[in-house]
Amino acid sequence: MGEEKELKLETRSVKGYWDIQYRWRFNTAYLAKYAQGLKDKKILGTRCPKCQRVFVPPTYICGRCLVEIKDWVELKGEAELIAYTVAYSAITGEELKEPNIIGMIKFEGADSWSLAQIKEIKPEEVRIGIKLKPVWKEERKGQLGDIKYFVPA
Amino acid sequence: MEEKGITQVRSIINPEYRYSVGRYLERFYQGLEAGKIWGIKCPRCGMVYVPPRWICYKCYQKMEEWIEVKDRGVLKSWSQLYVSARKNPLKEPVLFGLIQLDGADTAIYGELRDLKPEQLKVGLRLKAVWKKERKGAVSDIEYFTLEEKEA
Amino acid sequence: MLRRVGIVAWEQSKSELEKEEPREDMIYYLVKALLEKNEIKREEIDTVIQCSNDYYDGRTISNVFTVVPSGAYLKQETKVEQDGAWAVFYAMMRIASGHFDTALVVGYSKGSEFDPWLAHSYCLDPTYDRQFKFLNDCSCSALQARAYMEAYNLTPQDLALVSVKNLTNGAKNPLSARGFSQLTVEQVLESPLYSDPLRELMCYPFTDGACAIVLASEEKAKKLTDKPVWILGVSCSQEEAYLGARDLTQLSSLKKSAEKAYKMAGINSPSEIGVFEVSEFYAHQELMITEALGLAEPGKGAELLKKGDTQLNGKHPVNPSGGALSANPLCATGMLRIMEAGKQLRGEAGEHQVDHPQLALAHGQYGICAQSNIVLILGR
Repeated sequence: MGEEKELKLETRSVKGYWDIQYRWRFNTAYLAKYAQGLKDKKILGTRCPKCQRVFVPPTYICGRCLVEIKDWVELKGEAELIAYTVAYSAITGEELKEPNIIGMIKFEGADSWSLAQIKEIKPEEVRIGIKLKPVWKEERKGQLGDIKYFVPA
Repeated sequence: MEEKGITQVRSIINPEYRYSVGRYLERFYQGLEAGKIWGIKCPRCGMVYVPPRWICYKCYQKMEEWIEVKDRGVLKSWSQLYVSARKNPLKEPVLFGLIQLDGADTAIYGELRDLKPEQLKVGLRLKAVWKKERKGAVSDIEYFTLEEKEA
Repeated sequence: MLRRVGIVAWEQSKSELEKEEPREDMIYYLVKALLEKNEIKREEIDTVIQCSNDYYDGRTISNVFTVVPSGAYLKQETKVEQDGAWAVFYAMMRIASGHFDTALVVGYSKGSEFDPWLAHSYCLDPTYDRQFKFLNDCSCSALQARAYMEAYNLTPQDLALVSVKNLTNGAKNPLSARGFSQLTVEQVLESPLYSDPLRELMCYPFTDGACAIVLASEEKAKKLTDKPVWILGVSCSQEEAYLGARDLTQLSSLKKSAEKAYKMAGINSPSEIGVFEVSEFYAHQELMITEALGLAEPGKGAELLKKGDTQLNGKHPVNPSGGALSANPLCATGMLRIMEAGKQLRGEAGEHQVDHPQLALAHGQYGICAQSNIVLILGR
């Protein structure tokens, strides 16, 4: 009994920081070209010369073949919903005013999936396989935010 | 790669942690506040650890025998630091060392002041200079300096 | 009885003080070059072991992001978060178990993109050690250097001799990050003082680099290459973390690992080994390492160096490649030592080749003041 009491003794705490100033370098050329395509309302992807898989957003190394990818393709048509979830609370834990539908979509002709926010549909009406189309900003600057969100086609 | 575009980005990671010091260091810090230095003794090999800890690393034994050690001891090693961890020059170089207090078998860190470079040697006798107002932290011992020779 | 494991191929990205390319590109070109030069297909690799560190990369589970460039796509991939030599040890164990026939080990880090001394200072206990603002990787090593120097009456000149030897050897190695074709003790003692007695040329440089090694079981190794390098002995050990409780005048964990590795390889004395590639992050550590390996009596490491025994053409050449003082891409350093030891055994070391070694020793370290050590004995 005495030992238990000792174990519950509150001890002081000290602060610790993680102060390392990282200076990461990234190869952003491919993402920059993809963002530039968004300015012209185009969805661009890259295609592996060996396995012919198409990646959206674009990537420059194919993991399966271990080769560099240099071919670009434009993807037209609608996107298909592959998976989705409905978020009711924000990352901080507070409740959201409106539930947020987040999905993984596959553009027609692509082999990889992209993340998308889906609006203008009720959470209970969402089904796997529905077709979606992007809603573009009026003034586009060649940034990832040029697509506001996706809505049912 | 066909297109080359290397972008460098600065970090925005700044987590703050709060580490609980644990029962043993809690007693050690309480001791510092009161002007005492606590150590702990292993029941098997008799080694006295300062600062105290739970398990003797040689015997893998739990330790519970508290021993008070003196605030004077010998210098085991020292160095003078001129740059920060990012290699930026410090405003004032810091002289610091490892001091083994009388009664302890391990050494503690401490800043060294009022010493001439020629005086520094392993085995030099030092004493702690305490802060007048203490709060139970390592800063309660402000620095170590030469132990005065008894007349 | 465990299967024999051999090293069949290696490749190194040139170590540089600052590389323009991001780590994904660095690793991709490295692994591609390794597989193409040695005609090994990605399909032939059974498992990939990566060696990187979350706090060096600034991302948790850092190996997730380098799976594709390391060639680990849809393979049994795992990570060792210590020095690369431990990753090679782990790969060796995987193969020796009989469950895998080949392994690819990739180690990397980019010292120019983070603060190495700060990252190492986070090894210290936050509840006590870190409260002292003067403690970082360099100042703790300086405490070790001073304790060692005082115990055996050494001077900063003795430390500078190590820098002169390794940095001039580094100049002969085209893949090292720094090296000086001419260097004097005076020049080392005039370089900026970081933490007495350690000066800039006595401390490792912050480096960007990577290394990749392919290991295979005995049967497979003989098919993949006609010059396999066998791992004959390996052992690792570590000491206590708190500096005040350690004996800073010797590397006791290294002494223990070396004894066990020698026994496993069937060696009676280190003089049977033709070349030593050790990881000396600070100049004084090489002297302590030669003593712990048994090449010199305690305190006589500096004498051994002054006699010329550890020079390129000496009786016991240590770090003919320049060691960690010439290039220290953390996490890859141990692998560079294994690679250089292997090159020496094959006679492919070029300008810094040592005369006909039959056995080689590679050493890796990790932790503040070489708390953990690993020793590998390699032979043909």
